[in-house]
Amino acid sequence: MITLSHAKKLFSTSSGAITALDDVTLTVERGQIFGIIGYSGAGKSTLIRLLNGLERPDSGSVIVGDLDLSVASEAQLARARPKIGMIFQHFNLLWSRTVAGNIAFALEIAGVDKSAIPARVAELIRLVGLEGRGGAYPSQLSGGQKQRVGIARALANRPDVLLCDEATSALDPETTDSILDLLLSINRRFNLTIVLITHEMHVVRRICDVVAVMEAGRIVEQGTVAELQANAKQPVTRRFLRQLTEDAEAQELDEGFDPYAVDIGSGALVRLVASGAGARDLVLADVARRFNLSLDIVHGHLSFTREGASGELYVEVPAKGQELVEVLAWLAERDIAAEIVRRG
Amino acid sequence: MLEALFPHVRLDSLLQATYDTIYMTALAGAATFILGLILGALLFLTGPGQLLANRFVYGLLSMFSNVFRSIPFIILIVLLIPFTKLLVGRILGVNAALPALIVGAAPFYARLVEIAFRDVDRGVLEATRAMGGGIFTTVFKVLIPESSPALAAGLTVTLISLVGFTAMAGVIGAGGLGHLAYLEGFQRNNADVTLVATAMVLVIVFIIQFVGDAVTRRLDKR
Repeated sequence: MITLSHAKKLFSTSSGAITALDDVTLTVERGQIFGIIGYSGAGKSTLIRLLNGLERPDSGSVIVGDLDLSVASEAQLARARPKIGMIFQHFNLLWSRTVAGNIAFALEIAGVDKSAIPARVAELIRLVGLEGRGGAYPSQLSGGQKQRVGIARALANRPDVLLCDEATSALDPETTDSILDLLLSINRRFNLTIVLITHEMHVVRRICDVVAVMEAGRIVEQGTVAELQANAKQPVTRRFLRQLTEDAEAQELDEGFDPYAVDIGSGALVRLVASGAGARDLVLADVARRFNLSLDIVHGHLSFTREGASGELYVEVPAKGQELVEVLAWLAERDIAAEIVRRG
Repeated sequence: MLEALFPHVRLDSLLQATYDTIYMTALAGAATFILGLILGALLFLTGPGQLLANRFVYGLLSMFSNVFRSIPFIILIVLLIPFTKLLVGRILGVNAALPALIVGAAPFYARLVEIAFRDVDRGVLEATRAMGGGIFTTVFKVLIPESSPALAAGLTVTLISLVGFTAMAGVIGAGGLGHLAYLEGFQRNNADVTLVATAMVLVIVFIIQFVGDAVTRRLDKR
């Protein structure tokens, strides 16, 4: 569907030329969701703009469908663009038009017959789940709703390709997921090819079939998320993957743990929270020795923040009454917050 | 009682003068709106980084607009006398004032249009291009509607300065409230006529400002 070969792009600035894209070659199959991840300045914005001719490469070719955008005339580009939808980080809706008007705008540009517009707009509003909001102005919508309008507008002319320029970066995590789910369902339903750029590994893991990692204008590594997780070679790729494991571990551990399902005998289940130096000291071993108790760690995790490590542990303490009180007091002296979750 | 307070004010000449002022302001205003929009759009589009970026054309248009905005209006009228004569066939009367009014106001409004267009979100312009929109779509479906509150506010300011311009034109033979205040009021020592003519100008200005503000608010859906 899309083939980029040896695309190069330079920008001249007051402080000399900057290489935005350096010999980029990639292929996107029809129906694929292709992710491009990179930090800001890596060249991903320039790359996605090559795919609808908003930027032209200085050398190399950009073939979308059967048109080489790098040599197409402005008129050819204008004709090709309705078939290449695009959504944006800041939505880029016209504030002067309603939801329906914004969607109709794409159809007007493509020269769709006026009488056919209202029905198509209604269909698109249903598709993105904005029933009843057709008459609202963008200023009356939430960020997620605005992006849904953006998606409806991008899909208006039944494109072959959808380009997503940091489409979820301005949204909160829950809204991000609902927009990603919408993109995924559209991809499945219409076999639409999607190219998205992002700096969030979460976005890639959730919907992308293939991901290319960009750094300094080059694609440094490419593969499925699973392939990259198995053998990422580039440090930048590992950095992005770490983003993923940290989020996921914290979330999945907590989700899978139920303190009421633990068998604690006659002791107590105690939740310990330590941060800074306390988290690293062998406090538990000390407790075990001093009180002659065998402690059982039931559940826990450590996370690393700028200030150092912080940890949360669920520990089964086989003690009760006065002895339990003494253990908690001893922990409190060492800056460890302890609370009894359950008693046996 | 009015007779006693304003002994020299004749109602029919006051009404005629008011009508003349409104006529000149409205006609020159309409022409200024259209010409200013065209000139402003060209200024914007040929500006650096825009769709028709062209340093030479932009420089030329910019200089043209600066020159005509800078010439004091009273001098502009005199300078334009040959042009007016050619165009209208005479140099006295309300119609003879129109060329000078338009030449004086249109470049001013064009600058306001350019500024209004520059405030339109670049992302929206990029989205328009990405959808396949050309210059026509960009100007008529994006730039003008998306800057409409600023265009209306700018037109309000321009119309008010046009009222001032008509008063100056009146002094050298165009008629209207300026003519009434200066020739029949000041020169014949009838202070009451000057006062009433001035009050009438203020009423016109207040009405323009009030309507302009209301339209601007109405257009703004942000």
